[in-house]
Amino acid sequence: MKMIRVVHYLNQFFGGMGGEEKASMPPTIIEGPIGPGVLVNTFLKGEGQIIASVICGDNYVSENMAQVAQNITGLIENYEPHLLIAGPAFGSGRYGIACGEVCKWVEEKLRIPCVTGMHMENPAVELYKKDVFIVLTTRNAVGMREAINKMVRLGIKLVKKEPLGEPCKEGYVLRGIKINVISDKLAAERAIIMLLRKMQDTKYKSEVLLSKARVSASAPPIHDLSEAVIALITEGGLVPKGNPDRIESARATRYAKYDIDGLRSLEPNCFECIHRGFDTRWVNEDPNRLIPLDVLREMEGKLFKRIFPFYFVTTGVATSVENAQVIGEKMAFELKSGGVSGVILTST
Amino acid sequence: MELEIHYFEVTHVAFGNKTIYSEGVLYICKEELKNLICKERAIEDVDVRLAEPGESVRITNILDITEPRIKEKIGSYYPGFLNKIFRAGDGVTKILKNVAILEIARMPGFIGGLVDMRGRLAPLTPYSKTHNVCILLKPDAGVDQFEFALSSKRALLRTSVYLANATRGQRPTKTKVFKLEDSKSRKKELPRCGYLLQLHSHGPLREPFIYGGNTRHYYPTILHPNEILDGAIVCGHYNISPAFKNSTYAMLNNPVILQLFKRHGVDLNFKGVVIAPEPASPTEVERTAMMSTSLLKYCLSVQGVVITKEGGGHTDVALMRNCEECEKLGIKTVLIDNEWLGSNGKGEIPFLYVSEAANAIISVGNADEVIEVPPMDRIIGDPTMSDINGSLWESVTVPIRCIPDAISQVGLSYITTKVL
Repeated sequence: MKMIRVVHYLNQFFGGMGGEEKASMPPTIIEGPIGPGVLVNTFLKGEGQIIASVICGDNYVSENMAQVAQNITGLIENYEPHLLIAGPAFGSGRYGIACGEVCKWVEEKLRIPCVTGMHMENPAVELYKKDVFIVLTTRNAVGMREAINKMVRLGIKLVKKEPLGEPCKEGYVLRGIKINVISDKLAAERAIIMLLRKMQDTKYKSEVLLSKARVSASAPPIHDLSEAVIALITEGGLVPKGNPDRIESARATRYAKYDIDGLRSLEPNCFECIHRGFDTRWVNEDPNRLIPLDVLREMEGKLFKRIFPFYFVTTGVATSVENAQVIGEKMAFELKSGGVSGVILTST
Repeated sequence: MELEIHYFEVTHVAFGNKTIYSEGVLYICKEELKNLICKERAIEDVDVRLAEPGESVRITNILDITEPRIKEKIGSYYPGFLNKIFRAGDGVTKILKNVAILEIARMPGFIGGLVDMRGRLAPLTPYSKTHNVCILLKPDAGVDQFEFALSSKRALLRTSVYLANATRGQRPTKTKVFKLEDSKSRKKELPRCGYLLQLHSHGPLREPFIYGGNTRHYYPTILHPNEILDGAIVCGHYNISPAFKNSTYAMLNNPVILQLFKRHGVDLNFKGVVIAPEPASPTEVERTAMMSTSLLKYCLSVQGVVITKEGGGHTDVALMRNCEECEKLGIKTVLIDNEWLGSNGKGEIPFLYVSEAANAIISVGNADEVIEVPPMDRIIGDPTMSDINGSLWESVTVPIRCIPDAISQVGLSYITTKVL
């Protein structure tokens, strides 16, 4: 194996630049190790070395979150590193977030493994554990030696793509990421073993733990319907013919909005349903049965004030909770700023 | 009811002048088979290709899979679908083992599967270890999806019977008998287990066939496990990813039933199977859950049940409701289901309904995971697929849901998930 090229990320304090007065310093890069980096080199035991260290103020990161990680990625890219080690940040919240954010970006953009370290109660643990390997450390720098030893060992394993042991053994926080692995027993056989154990009241371990669905609080009722602006939304995948925004027919990552101002109803020659999860023949025959524009037009000006001039659409088939949340939040923001008071959301 | 299966193990498949099984080798007369398939309506052309385990071959657009089977006395198989109806599950059935027949076609709106005979994807599916007879079908121009699907299925099943007929007059390499009768008294004291098999019922191209009938309008019912192992249920899904349907092969070799049989009289008492539809409306879901549970409790008198499903979304609601109703009546449940966690495994399962009673679940893997693979030397089937970007002659990123029975709803695979 060739020499592992490591980049080390530190804050102003551990990078030897100064204390709180330097917390707003922008990122800078120096060649070779600095501060705890010397220890990193020691534990690399000749298998690799720190080729550059990036130092950045903690406040600078939190104030420039959107682009700072990108800037840092740009700085280290030229060094062609195999591994990024960030921190350890111990109990420091700001430093922890900076380490998490930088690791997340670098891993995504440069596709190299990243390891950071912090104390279990550091708020950055919950924020970044799914994105980054976080080695558990003491609350303060007293455990520096052990922390760096664990971080380096884990980093080497990741670079060499060696199989990882259980998180507690390797010393990192359970990330909550699930990967597919091959069991030594057929799924059906595991099912029957589990069933017999459950029937005999002996211990068994479910392979899936379901979390309760989050419940959103309902908005208060519309006070005065005669003043209400009503919007139409569907997850049923109804788009203008040709699907101009290429909304996915399953596993949607986005939504679109289409102008219905002045339309009395949705004509089948102008719209089509691209949803993959149900039999779309009837919607294609009459799109108003998915988005009830025709009926709503009759009520407009009588029962309520007017229909919002756009309908919003996405497809709800195997859409991840994460994407669905983003889509929902963005839709809600647009509707709220557009003065919408109520929504009819049709589902398939 | 006693099913006697005669296995004829196959070590190699090759084309020959005559279709014959001899000393472990299955020779296939290509022309004769092609002529047989061409008789089906809606099929413009057909080709037959072979693939062996370990070869550098990528097989694409796979719609369904079965194996060569025949009831020699009747001269057919798949009752109600290919033949007039007869009772499956009784008498002698002959099987050419280690052979898979793959139904392949590219048709707009259809979603097919992909099998690599070597490389990273191969260990994930049972069909990289079988000698594969690939039936490549070209639909008539402008033919209706459903009409083609029926012809395509008949082509697959006819091939199955045609090939199995090559065992005529030969001695089987192994035989096995399946029956439920309590012969040993000890069985009576063993824990009474059953199987609730949910079948997709979301309309044409999204449902299996039971004795040739579609599965939209029926109530939960008891089937003898032998009937399922012996061709009563045929896969009818065409517009859903392989991961969410049960192939005909997976039904004929239903691993939950086979495992229950294996332990029958050993450490459990296998009481039987209830099949249930997966309706779309809440009223029907409630009714189905109640009726299925009654059958399990009061007709089969089971104490524990494995529940499997096919499809996703609505069908997961059915899974949860069935589980809940069973547990309410004191029937212990274990569910088999896949997970949906995004391609990076970081997501949460987007279930529409979660029951606290669902506390014992076997995971057959994250269906969203993707695997990048290099090209193979040979492609059988169209070099493009509806669910995979780019040409299959290049390196491609393959979602695991595209690999037949890699993610298997009835538990025919070894894949599960692990938390990092």
